[in-house]
Amino acid sequence: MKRKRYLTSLVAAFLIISLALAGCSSNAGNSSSGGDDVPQELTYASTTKAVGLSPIETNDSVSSRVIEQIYETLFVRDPKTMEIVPKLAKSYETPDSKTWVIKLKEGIKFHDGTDFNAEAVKYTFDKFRDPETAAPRASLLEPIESVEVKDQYTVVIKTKEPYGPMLAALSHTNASIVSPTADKKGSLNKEPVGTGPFKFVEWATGDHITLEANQEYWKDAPKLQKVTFKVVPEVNTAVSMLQTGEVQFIDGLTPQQLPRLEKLKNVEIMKEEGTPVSYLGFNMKKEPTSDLKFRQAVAHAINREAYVKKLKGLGVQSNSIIGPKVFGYDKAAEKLGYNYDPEKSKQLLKENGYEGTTLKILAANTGNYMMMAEIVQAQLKKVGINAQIESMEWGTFLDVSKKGDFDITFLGWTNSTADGSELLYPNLHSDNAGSSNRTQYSSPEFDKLVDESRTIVDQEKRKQKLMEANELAVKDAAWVVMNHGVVTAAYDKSVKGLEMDPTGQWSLYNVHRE
Amino acid sequence: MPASEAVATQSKLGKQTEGKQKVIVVTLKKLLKNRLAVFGLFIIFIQILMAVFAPWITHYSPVTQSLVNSELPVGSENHWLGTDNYGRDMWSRIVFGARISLVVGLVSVILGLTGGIALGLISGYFRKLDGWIMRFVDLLFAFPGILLAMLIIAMLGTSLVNVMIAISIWSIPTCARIVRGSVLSVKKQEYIVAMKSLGAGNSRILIKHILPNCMAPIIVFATMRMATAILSTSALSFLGLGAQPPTPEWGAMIAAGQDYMWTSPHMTIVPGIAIMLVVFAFNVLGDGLRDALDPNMDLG
Repeated sequence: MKRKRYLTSLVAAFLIISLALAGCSSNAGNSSSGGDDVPQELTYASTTKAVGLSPIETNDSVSSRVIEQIYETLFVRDPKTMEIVPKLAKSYETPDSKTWVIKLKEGIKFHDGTDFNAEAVKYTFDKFRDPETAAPRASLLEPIESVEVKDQYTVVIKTKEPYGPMLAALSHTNASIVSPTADKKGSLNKEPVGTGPFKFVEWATGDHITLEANQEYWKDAPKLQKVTFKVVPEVNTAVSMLQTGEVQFIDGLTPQQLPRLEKLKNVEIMKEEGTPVSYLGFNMKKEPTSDLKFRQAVAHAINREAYVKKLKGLGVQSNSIIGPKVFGYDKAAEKLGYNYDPEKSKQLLKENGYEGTTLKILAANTGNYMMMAEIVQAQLKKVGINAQIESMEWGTFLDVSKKGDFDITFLGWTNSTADGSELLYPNLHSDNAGSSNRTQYSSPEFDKLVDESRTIVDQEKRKQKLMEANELAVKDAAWVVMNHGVVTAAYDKSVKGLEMDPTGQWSLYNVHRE
Repeated sequence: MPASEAVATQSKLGKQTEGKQKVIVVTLKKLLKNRLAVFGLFIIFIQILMAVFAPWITHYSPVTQSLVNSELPVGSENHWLGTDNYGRDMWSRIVFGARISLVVGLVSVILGLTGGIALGLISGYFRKLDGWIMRFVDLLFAFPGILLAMLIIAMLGTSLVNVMIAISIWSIPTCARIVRGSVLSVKKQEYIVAMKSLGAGNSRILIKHILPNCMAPIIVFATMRMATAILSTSALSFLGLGAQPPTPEWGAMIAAGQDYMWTSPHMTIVPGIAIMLVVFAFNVLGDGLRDALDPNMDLG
């Protein structure tokens, strides 16, 4: 008797649970199909939180994603043609190689009602360059000598030397124009005011940032009424939220998440070849990695094809340091690198007395860096190099790698201007050795070419110099390029009109839901 | 010493060893009646076999990658437990991982016991040092266990050896307290007082007479501690503080498999089950031993 009752309750419990589960799954299905009046709202999830919302004072990608919706730059790089076109600017001319005269669009207002004019541009750039501001990307506008207001809508920028990547620098998110009134009143980091299609509403630190449509935008007002940037620290959770419709948009997908996302019926995946690059860097100040022969042996030992396959389409194999989507790329560089050839690697090690070398691989435990480290470790072992991996979290890694306490390390560079100078100068020029040039590569010949690429204003000549510099560094095995990046996003099918730059940036201006 | 007395002592010694053997036999009998404890013993026995014969019962090296064969599911041809994200055989990694967790567990428990027993004996026996040592132990107790281990690793650097050191230090305070408690009760026994009045040295009394009588709680503690040590090693490796790649440590394997939870769940589940079984085994064995070693517990 008692037992029977027990059984009945068990069956009942089972029924309830299965009903509940069925309810859940049908909910998930409904959210994707959408109705006639889908709210014009969008929630984006990132795993880390934004640092601040002032373009002048920040330099991390999560902050930039928000900043790009609130502020605008004078120029932008067209994602399709990769040409730089005016945005807040109307036109520009260069009377001589050190002077840039920029005409501005008229009748644009900041969110707080302040007029956008030459004064605002001067204010922004002066603040950006002020040593007291200590802007993290100050180097972008470092070559500028003065910014002058010619008339209300004309600015004249004079540089110390001819500055080739000027337009690329001015199209960088961090060179966005800010409202002088708002900046004088308070901190833009907490209360951002720009000219962009979205206005700041609130920021619950560590949880979310809310923006709303700017109805007075200088073009048509955006269709999305409300945009939320949510922090979801765990990728798997973010994907689950995308599945249930709590979040409509995530980016920076990992190859591990891809198979799961592809199975979700309500999710669309976007993959675009982009400008980021991931590479293996050698410590140039230490034996044996300072020896070209040894670096060649390492490059020959690594099967990058197998590694790129593991990325499941989220990476492009290339020998060139300047990637296919970056200004200065040259197909000829592909033939110059050192391809997978373990026999040649062994031979090089033997000829130069490097058999049985022990190395220290330093790797950050984020992104794909651990995967690179483990695969390279196993492949080096095959040619007789014993490598020990030391893994650490990103912050510690940055300190340790700056000190040069490694033989081999893995790094990446998201080139947000898509200009080769912005890749070669910070990462490989001896000016930056020990800071952003973590491998401390230094070659006078290479430095000269990069300097020229920065000081020549003629874009065709610049490209030539960049190609030569790239060729030199590839031959020198300064890096072993693991892969060039693919920028990715996954979004709910109800989201339409989303476009992504090769730099991984996106604007929600043209996005709507249906 | 007169001859007759010597003979008497000898026969007494004989009786003592006989008595010891009897205690062991009785304890074992009690233990074997406890089904859970037998199950625990069985699992531990299997782990020991895996650890000892690791190279002979696996076909693949636990660290050799084969990127073309990566993420094979459980039950694949040639890889019955599948492969991980680098195409390494899961069975090989589990077997060699058994070796690591056993060694780390044993070493850290032995180190911890040595420290803990020494401190406990001294503290319980010499009243003057008692206060000092116990305050030091209290100090160690003030840190939550895993945090103390993380602190030590932060100072020494990440490696398996440092994990062993950290876990053994973490074991010291508990062990010292247990031993001290037993010493306090044993040292008041008449035979110890008798030894003292016969003029036996302190070290002789401590090691030959007090320590053997404190063994029961120490054995139970050591067995239980094995479980904690194995679990903590895995936890620390999971956090990236212990074994460094490509070491096939179970906790590190779970951490690596995390990203593949939805596509290759066996990468986390298999090492997870391994950890669970072994920790469970040591815990039930410890429980069984406690019951078996307790003289007040009846056989029936």
